[in-house]
Formats: sequence, structure tokens, C-alpha cells
Amino acid sequence: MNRHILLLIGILSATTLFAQGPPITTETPIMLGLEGNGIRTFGKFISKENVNIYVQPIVIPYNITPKFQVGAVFPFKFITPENSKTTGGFADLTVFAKYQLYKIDGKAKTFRILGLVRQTFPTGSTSSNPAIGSGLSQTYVGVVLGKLTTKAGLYGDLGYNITNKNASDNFVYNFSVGVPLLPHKYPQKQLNTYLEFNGNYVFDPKIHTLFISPGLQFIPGRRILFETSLQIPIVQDNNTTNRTNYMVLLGTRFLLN
Amino acid sequence: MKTFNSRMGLIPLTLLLIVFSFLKTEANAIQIEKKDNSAYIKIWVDGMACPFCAYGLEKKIKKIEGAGDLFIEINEGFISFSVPINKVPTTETLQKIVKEAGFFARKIEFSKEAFKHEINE
Repeated sequence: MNRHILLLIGILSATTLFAQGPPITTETPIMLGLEGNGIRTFGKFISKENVNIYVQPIVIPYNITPKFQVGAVFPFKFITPENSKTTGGFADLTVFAKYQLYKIDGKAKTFRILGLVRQTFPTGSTSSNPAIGSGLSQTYVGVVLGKLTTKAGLYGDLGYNITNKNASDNFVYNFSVGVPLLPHKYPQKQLNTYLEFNGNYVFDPKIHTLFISPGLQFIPGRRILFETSLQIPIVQDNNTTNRTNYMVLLGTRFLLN
Repeated sequence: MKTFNSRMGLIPLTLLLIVFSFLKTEANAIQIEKKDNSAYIKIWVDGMACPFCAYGLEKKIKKIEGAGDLFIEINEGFISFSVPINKVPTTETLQKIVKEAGFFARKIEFSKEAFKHEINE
């Protein structure tokens, strides 16, 4: 495993650098402006020890001002326990708001910091077995930051997720490095690679998980992109039988005319 | 609550239809040639480092009456376009357009001649 990770980092480091698109499993600090409305969706297959899960969220952001974005995530979830029938349906709805706290722009480069608040509602069914929803209200407060130049993109987000009832709060952190593989012009075909790290620390019981997530992104034109990411656990210190083997994401984003 | 197969089949199919409808509108070549009744505008845009993020600016520029010959160069950080000579927007209007797209207009040039673009690839 470690040899593969080092090899991947080596390939990314040796690649000629150009500008790129938004990261795949990390939040982006680049909002699309008043006219840049778009939709994101992806299918995520999660392989766990005793269950397979397929999640299909549809993310719709809307810019109220160039600095302020609101949006909603409409997730559909399908769970297939080992030796059992699949159940699925609409999962927990999330609404979010992003506000640009800081921005410094230069020629073909930018550095931005956003505040991010997410509220998740327990809309998913908990009466089914297994449950589609968490049955919890969750409030996430965090920051998103990123530096983007024509040479590379560095992104990060971190935040605290507050849950109600007796569930534990958790700390979420993500980091991403983006490296384009093709020279860029506009509109253009772009092929971008990402190396991302996705961490989650649950406080009670103490469970730390960290995934390494290499990804590819193809942008065939000015209004659409396709992306895929493989998420492999490198830290997973829970002793339950609920360990994740891997996750695969395949998705698209398109900008509305 | 429905079974896996019935809903799983519908979601990807719907998404694919949406995606391909978008792909069909993508092929636009940019050609810039001198027109007698046109003025040319070049805006040096700070913060435009992400090609996928530049579409919002393109959309807003295209809403300027008569705007055409749009050209965006990410590496050099500028956007240029033509407008009818009697409908040239003010500097303030252009600055506002760029700001609303999430960027900053560092410098704006007006010309009666089409700009020559040297693209660094």
C-alpha cells in the first residue's frame, strides 16, 4: 500500500503543472459567481465488511451574491446488507451556506477563504431495516480555503459537526492537491489529477478514519466535467465490524446556460 | 421504499440524458476578425485561475448588447470581446460585471482595432 502511495505522489510531482477544476472530495473555495449556477451529482459506491452502500446525491448551489452561496443536497441511498435484500430511498436532506471571508486575487491566481455552515435534517427513513436516514439533526460549521494558480491547486476544509440526541460530534478535515495533465486554453479539454485526503474524527467513542483519494477529472468543454475518485482507508481505528474496504465515486458537474 | 433495481436504473439514465444534452451545445469556435462598426474591449481579470469557473464571466459578458468575438485566456488573465461601436459599456459597468462573476477587473482597454492574442500553451 505505502509503495503505491509513494508512486502516485511521485507521478503527480513529476507532472507538468497547469490550472485545473474544482477538487473532487474536498470543498472548493471558488464559487461560480451570480451567473455561474450549476448542478453536481455523483454515484458513490461504498464497500464495507458486511454491507454495500450506494449513495447518489444531487447538489444544487445558488449564488445570492458573488460572496454568498446557498444550496441543498438531495441524497438517495441504497443499502445492501450481506445476504439480504436492498432497501433504498431518499436519505437525509442537507442545506448549506458558504460565505467568502477573504479573497486575494492576482493574475491567473487566487487565494480564498470561505465560511461554511451545513444543516442536515433527518428526512431519511429510520423505520426500514437497515435505516436509510441517520435519524439525527446535524449542524456543521467549518472553513474552506484554497490557493489556485496556473501551476497547481491546493485546497482544504475542516469543520466541526454537531449532532443531536446521544450521537457523538465529529471533526472533519479534507485536503486536496490538483494537477492538470493537459495545457489549458478556454474552452478546452482538460484532464486533471487529484490526490486528496479525507479525515473524520469521532469523539465518543474515539474513532479516527482517514482515506487517501486519488482522482481523475475530465473537462470536455466549458460547461461540463466528469470525475472519478477511489477512496482507500489508510487509518481506520474502529474495532467494530463496520469498517470500510473502499469507496468509488463517479460523477459529473454541469453549469446551467 | 422501493427495491434497489427499480430506482437504481432510473437515476443514472436521467443523469446521462441531462449530460448528453449539455454536450451537444459545446462546440463553439472563436474567430476574431475586424468589423467596421465594432469596438474591442480587453479586460485584465485577476483571480481567474480556474477555466471551469470562467464560464460565469463568459455568460455575463455575452449579456452585453451586441457582444461577440469572445476570447478568454486563463494563463494571461484576460478576456476580450467586441461590441457595436455605439454600445460600448462604461468602465464602471464592466468592473461590476467582472465583480459579480467573482473576479476583479485590474485593467480595461478599449480599442477600435481587434486585439491580437498570443496564447502561451
